[in-house]
Amino acid sequence: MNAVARLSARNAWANRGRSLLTVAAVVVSVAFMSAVLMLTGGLSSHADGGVAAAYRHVPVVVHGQQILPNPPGEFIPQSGTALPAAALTAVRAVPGVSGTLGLRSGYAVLERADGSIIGKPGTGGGVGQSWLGNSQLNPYHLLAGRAPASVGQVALDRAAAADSGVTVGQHLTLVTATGHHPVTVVGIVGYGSADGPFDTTAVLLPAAQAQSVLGVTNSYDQILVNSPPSALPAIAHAVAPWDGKAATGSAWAAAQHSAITSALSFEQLFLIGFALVALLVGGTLISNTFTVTVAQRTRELALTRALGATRRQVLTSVLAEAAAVGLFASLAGAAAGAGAAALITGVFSLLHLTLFDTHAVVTLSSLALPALVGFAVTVLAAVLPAARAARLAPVAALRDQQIDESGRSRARAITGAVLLAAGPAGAAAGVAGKNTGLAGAGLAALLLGAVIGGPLLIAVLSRAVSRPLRALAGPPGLLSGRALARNPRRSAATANALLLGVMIVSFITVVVASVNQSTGSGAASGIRAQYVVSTASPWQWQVTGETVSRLRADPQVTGAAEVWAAPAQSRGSLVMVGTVDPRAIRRAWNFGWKAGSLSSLTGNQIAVQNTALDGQHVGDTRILTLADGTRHAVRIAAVYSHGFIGFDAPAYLLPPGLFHAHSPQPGAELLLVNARRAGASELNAALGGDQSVTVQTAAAWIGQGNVKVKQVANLFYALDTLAVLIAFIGVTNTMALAVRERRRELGILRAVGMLRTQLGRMITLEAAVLAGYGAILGTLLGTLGCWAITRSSTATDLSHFQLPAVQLGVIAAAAVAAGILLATWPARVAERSPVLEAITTE
Amino acid sequence: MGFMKTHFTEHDASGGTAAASRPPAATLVGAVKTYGAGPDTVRALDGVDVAFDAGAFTAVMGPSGSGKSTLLYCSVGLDRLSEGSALIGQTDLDALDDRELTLLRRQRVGFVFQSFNLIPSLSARENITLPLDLARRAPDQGFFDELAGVLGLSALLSRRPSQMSGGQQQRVAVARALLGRPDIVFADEPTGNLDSRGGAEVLAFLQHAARARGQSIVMVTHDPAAASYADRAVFLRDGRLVADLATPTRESVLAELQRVTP
Repeated sequence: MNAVARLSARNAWANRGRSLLTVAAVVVSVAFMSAVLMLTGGLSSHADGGVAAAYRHVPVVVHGQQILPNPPGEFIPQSGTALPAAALTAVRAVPGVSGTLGLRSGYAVLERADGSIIGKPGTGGGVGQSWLGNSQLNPYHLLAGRAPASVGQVALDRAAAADSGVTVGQHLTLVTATGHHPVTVVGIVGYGSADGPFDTTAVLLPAAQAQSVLGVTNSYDQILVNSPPSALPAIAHAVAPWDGKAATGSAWAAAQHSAITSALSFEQLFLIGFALVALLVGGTLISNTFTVTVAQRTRELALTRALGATRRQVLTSVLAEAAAVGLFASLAGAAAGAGAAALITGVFSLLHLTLFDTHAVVTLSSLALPALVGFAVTVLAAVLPAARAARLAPVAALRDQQIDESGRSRARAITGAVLLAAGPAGAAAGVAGKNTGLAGAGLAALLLGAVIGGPLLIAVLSRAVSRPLRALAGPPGLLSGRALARNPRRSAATANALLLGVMIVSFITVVVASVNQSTGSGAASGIRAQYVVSTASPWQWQVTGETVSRLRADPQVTGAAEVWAAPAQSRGSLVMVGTVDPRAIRRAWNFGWKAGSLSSLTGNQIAVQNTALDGQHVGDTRILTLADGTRHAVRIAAVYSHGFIGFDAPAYLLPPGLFHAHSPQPGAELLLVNARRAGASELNAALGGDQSVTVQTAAAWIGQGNVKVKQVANLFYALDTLAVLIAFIGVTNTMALAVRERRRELGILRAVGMLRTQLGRMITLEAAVLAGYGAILGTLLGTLGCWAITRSSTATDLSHFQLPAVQLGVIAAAAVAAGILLATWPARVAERSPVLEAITTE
Repeated sequence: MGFMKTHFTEHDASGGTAAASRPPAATLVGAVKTYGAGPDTVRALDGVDVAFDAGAFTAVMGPSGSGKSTLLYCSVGLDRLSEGSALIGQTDLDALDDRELTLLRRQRVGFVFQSFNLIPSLSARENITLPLDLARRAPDQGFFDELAGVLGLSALLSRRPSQMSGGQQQRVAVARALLGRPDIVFADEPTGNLDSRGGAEVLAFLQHAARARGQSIVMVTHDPAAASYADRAVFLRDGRLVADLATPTRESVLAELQRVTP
């Protein structure tokens, strides 16, 4: 070991308190980053479902017209119009076509005897399809058992079978639009290169039974054609009368693949955004830690230089030390992140809060990326100040008073000001142009501006508050304000940890409030029914007609009103339209009519929820493209204020005739029930324990909201928990380090007569000022961020921006309180440190 | 430096005449201070009896490791004796808890350290009034102005420590130590980091404060020239008091140091 290496090793050991805190900061930051990536990875881990391989041997696919775009964050496998049997005949007649298979699809869910559902919760739901035999055209292939051949036989995709523990030979119940059917699983199938199609549980039915069991008309979703590629134009021409489209199998698979990818990209945008924030928080925390200790390190390095070490030797030793610390701490942090993610999912499942996915997904990138960032930031944060210190003449660096000029730096002021101005401008431009990416970039600039300009803001703030603080708390008050102003970079580093935490928490609070507002405004005042029957699955399983008739047959039930919903297109974006039975709904829902009423819903007259008016008025005409692809000029005849809850809640009410004619659905979205004496459990019993639907009291339904909203909120709260944790650890850590850095000064204060209580008060006041700064700025940034995202996004789920002022106030106040509370440990360390040691050591 | 010209001339004339009748400003009785345990025990103070006269300027001398600084720290309650007792005036420090010790330091003791004396975020004025501010006592404005004037600080009062030379910083520290009219001022190598001119200014002022105002001062130093400003010099070696010299001069101190240094 050479002299310089030995020196830096000795230095690290002599300052082991500092070294430990530094390592802790890196470990915690990396753990945070990787826990976030693992938690969010559970969302985006879906593969493309093997669609490319499934259609590899299909020369031509004929399909109906794609009517509606997939909604952001969702992928609807069957959103094209069906092709009538005549189309199949026409394709068969095309010269060169040597084989055709028609694929029927419909709503289908498998249940166990106890009513529990087969398939992964949180996926897009169940689809029943006809088994096309052992043809190379069949996108499915048999993996185990045999093919479904007769009534009561089904095959199941292997992903769902594995997830639910279903084996060949098991007896289950198949729920379709036509009711409950007893079935036996006779085979397990794969889908192309995957165990099952994307986001869907596939149930394969004998081709002969598919139509009657699924309750679909004599039509096909796809016609798979065996023909030479040259026949493609002729096939396309043949199906044109039914708006059919023909594509090569590979082109069709590629289109599906990109639809899936873009469906994921919306949620991934959110997750990537959060992961970036996590990386930023973690990186900031690490570099903060080094910022706080830079004065002490600079002196050590200067001493080494003064003793004859070359600049290069010094830098090498710093690099080696930082690399060792960074490597060890980053690896430990990545491992701790896996633990943290597991802990959070564990706690959430213990509390019966469902996340999107029941487990955190540990991937190489969720471990390696944070470790890499942690390592790089550690090395940079250590080496950059060292390089600066090494440039200084040793004597200058050794001088006792290092002046932190960052509070006056012009370059910093200009960069900060430019970013602080450009950020909101970018966000506003993003909002104006409905460009979420631009808005996000603006927010990033704003955040960066706040971090860079932080020392200046802190310096100004501290100068402003030091007089009031003196008036409030005497000399400790003055001293605390002055100390903050004197070390603006160190102060900002401490405050930033809290700022980022508060920013994330307030952002999420506003998002959740906005999503709730977007998805459930007015539901509480609207509900008149006692019970709500809704689907147990967050996605698309619907309340079937069979459920409705079972409930209506129950003597306790006095009324049941169905609320239907379906996607439609309006002004280029996806909206949810719906309908209700005007007579049944009266006792179940109060729409809070602002204009018109239920009786306005005739012909092409529709009602619009006031929050979805988008500047239109009663009497205006709007073009709606309904699920079957037909375009309708509808007139806004009524406006209501009490809409339903949920991501899929309709904001447009159509006359029942118009809706059902053009938006065929297997079942209703909601069923609103009134009953004599019966409770929710009795109603559940009346449904025979069918777990594909849940019965809730009206109050519980309002309170819980939609399952999917709840899941999103829960995921956010999990990320929230992490953010708060990291902020708290970061604040305590930087404060403790700052106290260590100021030992000498604190010792002098004690020596000349500052009482322990006064010293404690001084540290606490510093913490309070920093916490106040972090809390206010964090709340502002978080709120502005959410505003920009919701306002720039075209997603229906984020159509409203809701400012929960009281909650935000509580969060800011809690952050200040937490900051003060977190200062108690560093304050105690400061109070307890022996005066003599402090003034005799450096 | 107006006072230097007027008071330098008094240097040898006025002698240690202040109130010898007053009780000692600080006293150590049978003072023992040990560090460590077992065979490695270091006896930094090994039975020291000494009384620092009120109104006198006393220098504590001795080679490195002789226990000078330990003596100082124990005298003012920054460190506790292992055996024996330390008194400020009539107050036994051993009987005081941390809060009482802090209040005693604040009200009755002034400090000047070798370096890093000042709070970097406070101006010179604020540093000077800091102990009084902490006690919420208003400084005697007349005395403040006089100190600032005599120490040549009047024009520097709004400066921060980082904007002052080492000598200026030490003079601020001296003003801080004196402003509250403490029973005793302890100075730990106050000129150790200064050049000879800056050191002479500080020492001359301390001497002036003792002679003209009856301010009790104890100064730890290893510099014979510094000790020559004092009314009395005591010598430590291996934690014991080995010599006591009245009206020390540079030569007599040097001679004594040579005698006591092994």
